[in-house]
Amino acid sequence: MRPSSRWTPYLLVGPAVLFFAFVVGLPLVGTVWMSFTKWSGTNRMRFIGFDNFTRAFHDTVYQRAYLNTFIYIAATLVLEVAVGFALAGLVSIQGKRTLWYRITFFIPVMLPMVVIAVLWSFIYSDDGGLINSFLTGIGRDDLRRVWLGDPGTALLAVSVVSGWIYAGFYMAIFYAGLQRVPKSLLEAARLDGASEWDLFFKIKAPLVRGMTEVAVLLCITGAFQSFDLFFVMTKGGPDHATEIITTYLVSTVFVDHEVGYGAALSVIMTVVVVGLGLLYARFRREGDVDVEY
Amino acid sequence: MRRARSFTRLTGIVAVAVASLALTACGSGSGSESTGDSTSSGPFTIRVAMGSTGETVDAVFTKLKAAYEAKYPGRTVEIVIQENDTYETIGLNNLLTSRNAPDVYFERPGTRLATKVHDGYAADITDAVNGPGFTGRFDPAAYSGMQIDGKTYMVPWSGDVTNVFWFNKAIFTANGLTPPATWDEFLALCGKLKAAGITPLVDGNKDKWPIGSIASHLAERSLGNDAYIAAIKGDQPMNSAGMVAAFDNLKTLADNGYINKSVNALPDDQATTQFLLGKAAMIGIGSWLVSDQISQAPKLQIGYFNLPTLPGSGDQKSVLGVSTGFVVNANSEHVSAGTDFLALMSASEATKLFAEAGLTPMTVDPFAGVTADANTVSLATLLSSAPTKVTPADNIDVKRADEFYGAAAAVIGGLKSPQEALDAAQKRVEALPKS
Amino acid sequence: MSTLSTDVTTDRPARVPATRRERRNPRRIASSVLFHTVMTVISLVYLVPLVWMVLSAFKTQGQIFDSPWSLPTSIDLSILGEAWQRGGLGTYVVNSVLVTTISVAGILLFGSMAAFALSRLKFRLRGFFLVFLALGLLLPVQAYFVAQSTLLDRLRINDTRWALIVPYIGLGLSLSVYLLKAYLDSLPKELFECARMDGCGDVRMYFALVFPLIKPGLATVAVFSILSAWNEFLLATLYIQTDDYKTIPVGLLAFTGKYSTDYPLLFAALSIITIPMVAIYVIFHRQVINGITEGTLR
Repeated sequence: MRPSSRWTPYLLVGPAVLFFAFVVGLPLVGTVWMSFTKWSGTNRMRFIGFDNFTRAFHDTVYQRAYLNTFIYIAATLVLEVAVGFALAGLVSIQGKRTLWYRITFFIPVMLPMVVIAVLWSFIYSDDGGLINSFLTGIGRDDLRRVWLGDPGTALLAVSVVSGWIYAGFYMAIFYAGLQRVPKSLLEAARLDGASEWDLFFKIKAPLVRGMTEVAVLLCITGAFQSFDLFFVMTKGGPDHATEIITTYLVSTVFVDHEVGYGAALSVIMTVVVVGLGLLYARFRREGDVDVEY
Repeated sequence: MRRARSFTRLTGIVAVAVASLALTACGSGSGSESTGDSTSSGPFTIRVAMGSTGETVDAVFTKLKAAYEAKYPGRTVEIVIQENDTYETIGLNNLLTSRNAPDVYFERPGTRLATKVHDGYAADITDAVNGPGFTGRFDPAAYSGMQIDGKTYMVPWSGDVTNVFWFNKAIFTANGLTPPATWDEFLALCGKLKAAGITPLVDGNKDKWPIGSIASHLAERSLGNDAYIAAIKGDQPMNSAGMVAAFDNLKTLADNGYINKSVNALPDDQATTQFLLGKAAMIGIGSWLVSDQISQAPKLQIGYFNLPTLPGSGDQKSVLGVSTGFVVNANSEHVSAGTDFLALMSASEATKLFAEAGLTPMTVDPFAGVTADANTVSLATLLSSAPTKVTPADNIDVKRADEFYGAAAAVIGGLKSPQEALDAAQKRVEALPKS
Repeated sequence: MSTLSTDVTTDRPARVPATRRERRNPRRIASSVLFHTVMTVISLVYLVPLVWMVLSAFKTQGQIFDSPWSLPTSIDLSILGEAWQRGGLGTYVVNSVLVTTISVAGILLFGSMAAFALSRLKFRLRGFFLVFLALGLLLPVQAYFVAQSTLLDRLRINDTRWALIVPYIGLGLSLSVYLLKAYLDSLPKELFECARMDGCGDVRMYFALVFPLIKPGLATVAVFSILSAWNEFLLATLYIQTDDYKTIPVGLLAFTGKYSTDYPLLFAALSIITIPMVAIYVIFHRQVINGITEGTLR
């Protein structure tokens, strides 16, 4: 449709574009520019070329942060996506009277992450924590751990909380998808004597494959951006065992006041995340990624 | 995900457009700076910023605000108190660059103050502190680390002993124990407690400075103060044999289970609560424990002993401590009103209020006319009479101290041997750009 | 993702009508019992921590430490009032309400205006704007928050409510434009063309026709934006340090720092914030679940 006057489209788009340019566009350019400088945020900015990037590639903690992020991704693919899928499957097998279960599983998704992080810090705590005292209660003192203080368990402990939060979210997505499976198909299969398990694995699951891919991508990009849980529960500790990209970025910029270096770290991270997204798009070249749900 | 398809093609166009936007916006963004020392006569407000040191101390500032406003009609004081950890990291820097930048703010002497002076946020207040408002209130020694190139940039506020071992007197008595003089006696004492089923030592090292402080102290005892400072500043390697020897003592505590297993997961104040609830016999923390004890467990009998003597080339009677102070913002339009506030803070009335709130003021008469807690008074003496005053590493070099504290945490958590931990820290420190 | 009719919560089970015979079938009953047992156990994993949090508020410090699984001996609701008072939770709630309301209003208004123009009007920079705004869906906040904070400093709005409102609007716009445009695209074009024939200009068309038409889309965007702004933590913790302007997530964290040793008070504060949110969620569960899933899926 032709606009009623030359400038009305710009009037309509204007506020959104200006806000966006100011909040995202400008800072994006600014961050790239800052990544070539040495700056504390308060002193005089100094241009240092690619030094920050060279330093980042030799920064063992930064590398550790990537490793931890990948471990976290692997853990959450299981604890969030796979568990969410299983929950959706369970719910859809029964079908009847599951509304309250679904409501319950989704509760953590809409709560402030800080509440959950603080709550779980107590659940994990060494003294008076629910888990350790439960283990004592069932006579398994040997299993007691300092869950968040032991580098062997800390990352997994945080991942479990992440799973506790988001499994319900992925369940909601998969459940919506499973509900779209044509009922005639299921009825026909039932008449042929197929069990509910067969229905699930042979008919329903393949039909939500596209959705699974979306969920996996969401889980991966989401993991790169997570911050709240780690910041509140462990602050990256112990001994960087739960240091992820964002916590390291924040402590570099806002605690160590190395703004230029932090900007470089953020540019690298952006390239990785956007690169993964594009790689995914290419990998999916011809396939229909749009999911009708 | 459809958006990804056309993305690459248009990135270039977007970049150009954003760049042009950047140019226009930069022009309008930088014109609003207004600096200058206008001696305005009308009513005005000064902002005083600090991290919280507890509700009782915060309340003293409310009283000072009232006193100041009564003394100087037309002036208003706004007290900005942030959570302490936030203030010392994100908070203060953000405040200084904000629209309502503080006129007076809390800072630590030494490198942190030097950075503020260098970046143009600390006013030269030499003339004011030599003026009538401050006469006779401080020993010249109190200004240590607060003067740079002969100019004074900070007014001393309070001093803290950062590391002693506090003990629960009831538990010590019940087990027939007395404060140890040497590290070996200390270990023997820990062993007895452990055998009796009591956690000897609790600490909350989630933020890494509590054990980091102890490590700083141990390092000085092992290396001597100058060598310790050189190691933290990056002039000497961090993984020297003397440093490893110092960290071996932490390893002993970890290996024998003399310290709580949760040490690296526990926040420091929760460790304090555990000690005050009698869940452990000792805690290694600073003099501020007194104010927590007064508010949380007023009936509990506690005592302290300094870090016991160790074999090493440092001063075995050294005390780990920090001083703190307040700075006037160089960009403030009301520098003299700011120093007026600091003068009020340094007056004997204010000293009394701070001492009653559990602090150790750095004025000449910290406890005059106050029935201060016996432990507080005795700690103040310990600090002022210390033959060597050791500064925790994070007051020397923040970034390098972070690695040093990380190594200490790894050792106390039983994750790495002292050699491994310090080698790793040294490697990280070497990768840091020269400052 | 062109359809916007996610309906994840209505009970529309895919099943054959259960006949009497089937219902009496012992195997079916057994499997039903097994199913509900399993689901109840899983539900407990979700509910126990939350219930424990609320109950702990009414226990003493010692009880929380020594017998975490025990029930409180008495329920004294005054602890909730004390937490509210001492923690200054009221300020945080007011800030969250202000920040969320203004941000979401901006997102909805500017987003729908832009979506209308981008969906229905032909103009030269249309394609460019579309891709430019889509950038927000692709980039993580971490890509630009370093310079964003500097920009807010320069404007001297850091550590004010605007330091959150302005970024929240900007960040929310991408999604809002994208979802609403998809919604508008799905409407028949005759609707708009008829209005144009009647001499309706773009601006009037937006207010008289578009705005009422896209209400369902706006509802989805609103739910997602409200929850995003309400729960946002990263920017809020970096940009706001003064207690007077803190929103709930950051305020609660400050509270935990300040009273981290007063466990009952801490749990009381967490409960005060959580209980109303859960209650509202249960009432509007369908809208909330749809809003979040669609918003995240884009």
